[in-house]
Amino acid sequence: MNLEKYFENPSFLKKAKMIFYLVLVLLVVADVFIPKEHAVLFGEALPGFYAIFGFVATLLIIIVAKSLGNLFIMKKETFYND
Amino acid sequence: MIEWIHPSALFFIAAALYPFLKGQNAKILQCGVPAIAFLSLLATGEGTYDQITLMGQSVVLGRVDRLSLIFGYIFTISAFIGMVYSLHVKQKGETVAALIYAGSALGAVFSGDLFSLFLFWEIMAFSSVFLVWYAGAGSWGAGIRYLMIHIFGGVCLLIGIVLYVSSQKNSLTFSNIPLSGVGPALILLGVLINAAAVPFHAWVSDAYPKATVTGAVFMSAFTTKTSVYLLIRGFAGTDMLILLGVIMALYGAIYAFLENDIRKVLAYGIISQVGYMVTAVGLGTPLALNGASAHAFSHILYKGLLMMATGSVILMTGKRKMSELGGLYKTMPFTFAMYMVGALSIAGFPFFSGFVSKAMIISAAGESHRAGIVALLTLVSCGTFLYTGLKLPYFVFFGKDAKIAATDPPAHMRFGMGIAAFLCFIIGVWPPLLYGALPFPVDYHPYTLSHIITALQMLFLTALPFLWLKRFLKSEDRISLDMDWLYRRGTPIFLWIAKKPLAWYEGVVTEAYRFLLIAPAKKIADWAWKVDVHLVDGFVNLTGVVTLLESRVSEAFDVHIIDGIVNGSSTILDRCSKKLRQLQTGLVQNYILAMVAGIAVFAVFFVF
Repeated sequence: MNLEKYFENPSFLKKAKMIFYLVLVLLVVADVFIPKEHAVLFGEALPGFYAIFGFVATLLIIIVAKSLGNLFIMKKETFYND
Repeated sequence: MIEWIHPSALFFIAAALYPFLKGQNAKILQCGVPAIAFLSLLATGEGTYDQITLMGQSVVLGRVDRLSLIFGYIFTISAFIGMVYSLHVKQKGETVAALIYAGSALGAVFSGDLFSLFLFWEIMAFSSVFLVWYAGAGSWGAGIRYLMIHIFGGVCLLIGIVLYVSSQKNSLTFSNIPLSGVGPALILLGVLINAAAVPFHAWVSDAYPKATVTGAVFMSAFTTKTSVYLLIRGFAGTDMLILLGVIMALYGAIYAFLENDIRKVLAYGIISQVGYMVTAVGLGTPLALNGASAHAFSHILYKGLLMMATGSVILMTGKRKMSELGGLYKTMPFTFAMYMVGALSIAGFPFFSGFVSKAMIISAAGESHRAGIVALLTLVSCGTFLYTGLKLPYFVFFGKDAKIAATDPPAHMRFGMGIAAFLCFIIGVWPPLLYGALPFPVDYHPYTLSHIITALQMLFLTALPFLWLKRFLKSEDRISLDMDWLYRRGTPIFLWIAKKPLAWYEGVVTEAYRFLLIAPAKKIADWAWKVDVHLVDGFVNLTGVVTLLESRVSEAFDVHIIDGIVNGSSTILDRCSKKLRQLQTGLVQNYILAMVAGIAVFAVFFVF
């Protein structure tokens, strides 16, 4: 297996990025035509709801985890061996 | 056809024979026994086997029903995969410990009464700790802490069982335990400690990353999932578990995201994923309990796979921190591919195992109209993909190339990962394989178009912020404080309290006495002396002398009595904390003795 010819190749990476964004748009567009079954969450019926949910949730986790980490969770690696 | 062979018996016999076998024979034994155990379980019909009457109580070693069978299947499968993966291990004791550990986990699953359950429970703790200790330097303390927690959990379980059985004339049979009174509460506490429930979870993130490369694979499968089984069996529908599970899911995700040690990320991932199962047990509907069993099944497979892949990285590079790794996709492409199968499974990517099992739990929460639980568990799904599927692989296999000379691990390790990856994938594309073995009849279809689209939307939109922000998300060379701080720092803090604040208190008291009593007394004496000198001689002179004397007495009182009390209490505290320390680093024999004593008490209790 030689993956380097893909991952070290700028034009492949660019193409991959384009495909990524394209799929993303297609997923949200597809949502318009597919009815949701058993919607539980508020606004779940909206097309692209889970896209927005995923985006906000990820940012929320990053912000909460990083700030808690800086507040008191993270300590020097030698914390327990002094 | 043989009706029933107890899988634990197979494993225990194998453990006894293993030290005497060499080379090929030993390898055949260690892989053959889990395989035979699995096949014999497939051939076993439901029923009650191995029933013995002990001291007037019936002890059932083989309660075989759909619930115990699905855990039996996955435990034997994961033991097989782990044994293949650990074929290179030279230290025989480590493999023996793994065999006993797997055997006792199976024993706990198939035991139908609380007495044999407790026995297997203790064997599990005492055999698994050796998988930590065989890692050598630096693992001793973590192993002791692991053992201490499990002994505490075991004692809770034992006392709980005794109270439960004695209080309402309950039999020893283990089935649904109504949560009323101290006994059932203690049983639940003991089970929850083994399930790594917050705040009793720190043993997972403390000990698992310090275990041997192969030991962590076994550990990630058995202990917490045995607890999930016991929760399903004994405490289904306990409301409190719904919230507890969500807290575990969130807590594990946040810590996993912060962590730098790659196996510690996975260990926090276990806490987070077991949280889903605990929530499902709390919901208690057939769909939820199916979800808990299914998720335990797929979790054992993908977490084992992830542990094997990160173990391979550690074995081949000698490094375990994300901040020291990078660019490994070039030198370890197979390990990378296997890791990604595990990561996509845990993230619930369509066509991988996590998708078909996690969805059941979230749907069960939706059916019970608990929108908050649905939202939080979905949020944790994003977090799971973020730390296992994006962050860890990016910084280990891509990121800044650390230029570490490494190769993919030996063939048997690749083979072990291959089996697990194949199973993760096959369950994902053909869920009936798993659904057919679940404890309740299943009418659930994970592959609807809207479910696939929404899952993909969510995962893609988790990847997007990561791609934008990844340079800020690099793990730091720091460690996270967790609940283990309490018992790792407890003794020094106790000493500090004994020394610093009490010494300060003593100083304040002395100063206060000096200021309030002695100084005024001296002043009065001074003044009296002046008055005496200038006005009255003889008679007043006496008052001055008396006052002076009085001040001496109060000073002596202060020095000898007050100081004595304060010093004495700090000395006692100091001694107590020294004793506590000895308890903490005490000998294993003592614990074993304590356990044996516990069993003896148990036995005596049932005789009379």
